[in-house]
Amino acid sequence: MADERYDVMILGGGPGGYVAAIRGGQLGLKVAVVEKEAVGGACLHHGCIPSKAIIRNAEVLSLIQHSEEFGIKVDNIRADFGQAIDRSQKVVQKLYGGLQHVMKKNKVDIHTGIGKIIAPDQIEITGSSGKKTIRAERLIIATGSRVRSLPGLNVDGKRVLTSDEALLLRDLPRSITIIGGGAIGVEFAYVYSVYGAKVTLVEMMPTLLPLEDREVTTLLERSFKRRGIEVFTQTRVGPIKDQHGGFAVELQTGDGSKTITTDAILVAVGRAPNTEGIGLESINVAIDEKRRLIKVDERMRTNVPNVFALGDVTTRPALAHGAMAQGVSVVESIAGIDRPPVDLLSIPNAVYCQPQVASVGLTEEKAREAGYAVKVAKYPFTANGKAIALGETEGFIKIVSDEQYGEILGAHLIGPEVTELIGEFVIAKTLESTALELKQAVHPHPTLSEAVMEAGGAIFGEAIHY
Amino acid sequence: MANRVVMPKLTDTMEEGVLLKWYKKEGDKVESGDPLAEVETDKAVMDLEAFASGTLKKILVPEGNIVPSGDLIALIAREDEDIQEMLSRETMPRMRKRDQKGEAAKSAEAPAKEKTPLKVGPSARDYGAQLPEGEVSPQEEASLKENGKQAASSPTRSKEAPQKAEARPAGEEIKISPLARKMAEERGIDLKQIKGSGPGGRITQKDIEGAAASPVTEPRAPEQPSSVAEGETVALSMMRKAIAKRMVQSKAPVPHFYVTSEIDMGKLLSFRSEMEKEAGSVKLTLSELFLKAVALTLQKFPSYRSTYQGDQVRVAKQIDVGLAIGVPDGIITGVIRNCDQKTLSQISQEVKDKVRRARAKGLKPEEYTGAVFSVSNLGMYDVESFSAIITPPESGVLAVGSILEKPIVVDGNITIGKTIKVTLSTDHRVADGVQAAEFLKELKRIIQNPLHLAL
Repeated sequence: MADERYDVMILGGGPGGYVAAIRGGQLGLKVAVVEKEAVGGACLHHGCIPSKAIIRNAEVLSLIQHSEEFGIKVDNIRADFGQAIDRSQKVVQKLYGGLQHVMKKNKVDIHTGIGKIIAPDQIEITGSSGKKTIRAERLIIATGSRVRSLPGLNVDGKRVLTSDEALLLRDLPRSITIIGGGAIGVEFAYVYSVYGAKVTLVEMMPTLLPLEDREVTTLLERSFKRRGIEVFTQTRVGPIKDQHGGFAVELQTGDGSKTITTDAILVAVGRAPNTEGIGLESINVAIDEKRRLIKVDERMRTNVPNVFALGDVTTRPALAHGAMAQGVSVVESIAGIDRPPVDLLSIPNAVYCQPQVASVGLTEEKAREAGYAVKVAKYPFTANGKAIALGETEGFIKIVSDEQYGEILGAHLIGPEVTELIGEFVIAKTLESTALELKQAVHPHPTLSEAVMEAGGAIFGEAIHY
Repeated sequence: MANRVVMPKLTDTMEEGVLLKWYKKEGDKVESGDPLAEVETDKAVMDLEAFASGTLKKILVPEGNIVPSGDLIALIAREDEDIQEMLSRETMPRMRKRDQKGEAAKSAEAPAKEKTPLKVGPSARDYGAQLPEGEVSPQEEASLKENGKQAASSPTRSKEAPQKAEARPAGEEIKISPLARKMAEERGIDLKQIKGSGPGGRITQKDIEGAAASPVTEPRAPEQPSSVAEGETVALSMMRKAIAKRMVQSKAPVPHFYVTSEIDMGKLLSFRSEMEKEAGSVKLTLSELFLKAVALTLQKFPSYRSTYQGDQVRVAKQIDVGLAIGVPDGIITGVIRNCDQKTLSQISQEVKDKVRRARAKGLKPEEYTGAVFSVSNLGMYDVESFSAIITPPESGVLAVGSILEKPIVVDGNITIGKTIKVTLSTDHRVADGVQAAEFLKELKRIIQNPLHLAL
């Protein structure tokens, strides 16, 4: 049987791969996706989506817990954590169904099986029905990443977890120690603490969410501590002893060692790229030896002609929406559309704990390092009418602008719904708006989004409600 | 069919020209190639030649008027041809008088504009900001005030005033991001000269950053306070205007830095007198000697032959060195091509010829453009040292001061020597301090071993 031939073949059906495939289909390209599990990838099945569903449960629970502030008395609150997990799986299934439909509509062929690159234009697929080879002129590597564990820890899915297992664990641990204060760590810390677990959060770097603006992380840590989460920053995890059905974990802080006991451990120390066993060596794709990431240029080209890579498997920041944007840009370039590459500084970050954290562009520190004359303004949600009405006044919007032209270099948000509000800054930056346009754009009153306009005004010392 | 005669664009930077003098009158016969008129550009006075033969049927621009390049100034047709119909379809030239008091129409209009800011809506003001000064007629401004944007683009209006057809309608034709607009305003960049790379040709930050070398609009005259001390407004010559533009164009976007070095001139001066003795009547100026020395130095420093182009630099192979020549109302750069390959006497002859013709405004565009590096010598005016502004797209300029007698140390003894201070201005985007220092070191080596200049 002759090999199946395509215009583009994509190894990996996660957010980068499936978006590239759909866009290719829209453009009339014949596209194949090779996926070993289910299209949607870690994002849909073990990441972004189920975690957001679970966080929603925590938010609802939290609101009920505080309902007395609103004069609503609720007795006998019974929160079943298992049902939060069940609900998140339903959300995943619903989206998965929709995604399969969209892929089909755009005539994307999905080959289920383990793909291995054997030539720049050939992938060998080992599936349930044996081996086959597909060919295409262009190859996009989008194999993504997998959770990383720590040496010596036996991830059993019950007491020692990574995010993969935690998203499926229906039994709420009484106490849990989360190793890693990045986005995944802080989101789980929030969920478990709302559901009543005793949470200890340990981060090696000086702050939680080490890439975020200092003022944001300082407020987040304060908020977490008030919530009863024990936060240890600049702390390493030492030996872990399994004892009496729990663990004794040694924490090496700046002031010395301290041992805590915990029922469960969640390892959230980042993700490792899937660069092994996919045949990269057979076509000599250049990788960053230390981090095992595929080297790409701003247009996601590898060193091998006609071979692209995108998403978590590359040296670019690992974010689903970044991979999606790259997927669109790669396929459009392949189809001959003249378009600019994806601007790294316009890819936002979003963290969904409460208070939420979102950002785009340079932090104040980075902007100063880059040599900008920086002008910073902050607008607190305590001055925002809607936030007060909601009873969610914790947080602020901080804008880092260039003093000379008012260019928006970065925006750093913490507070209610800021993962939605950050979109305003992304558009502003994409359109090269300055603080002046933010200030002048009329926002509906009363909304949280007014804070965006007011923060723009604050750059000129002209916020109205502050 | 009648032939159109337009104000030519004789140089890259020329945006308008002054019609100094018509050599022919209406009704005169002209042959293709005949000089029709004398035109002053931003750089020189030139003859405008006829491109067609026939009769000069109509002169639209009287002598002494300033007209934008590309505007119709005359028609050449058959003697018996009726040009009325053609004229009625033509866009009339946008001209303004140049006189000693200085462009009366313009200066009368400017204060009027600025005294009534409250009546001007933001869109109308934007409109004004995008036009070169003097192009908005008072009537047009009034109509803008009344009708805002619509007035600018309404078909009735353009019928009534066809000569304004090229004026940009309010804001809409220039698509530009707010950030790019602010940068352009601050840097004095003329948006009309910029091609946008964004969606639908929108001008973005990148485009402005890459526009360092595009023509620049003059900054507006500062607002006059109501009680002005007595004074006189003098019209700028075309050359003065060009210099004003070019210098802003250089100093604003090009990050200059300066490195100064002092050079012992003893050997060079004795070398010069020997050369002059050998060659008889030839007089070598210091500028000529420095041109050659700089050209030889440039051979070893590609950075100083480079032009910064955003993501890349272009390195010139041929070493064409410019010499700043002072002329009555400004300065012009005469270019010595292949300067490193020429002998001193060739350079000397060429420089003398160019200086003479520059002062008579007779340099051709190819004689004053395209240098890779320039030399500016103010030594004859008793200046110790000075710093010069780079002329883009060049990336450096050497400023030469006067020879000073001062005590120097030779072999451990103090003696009276002759030294000169030279200052190298460098575009920091293509070279750093160390390269500047090395450049000067090499230049010094050549000047202090002047036999190199004779080779």
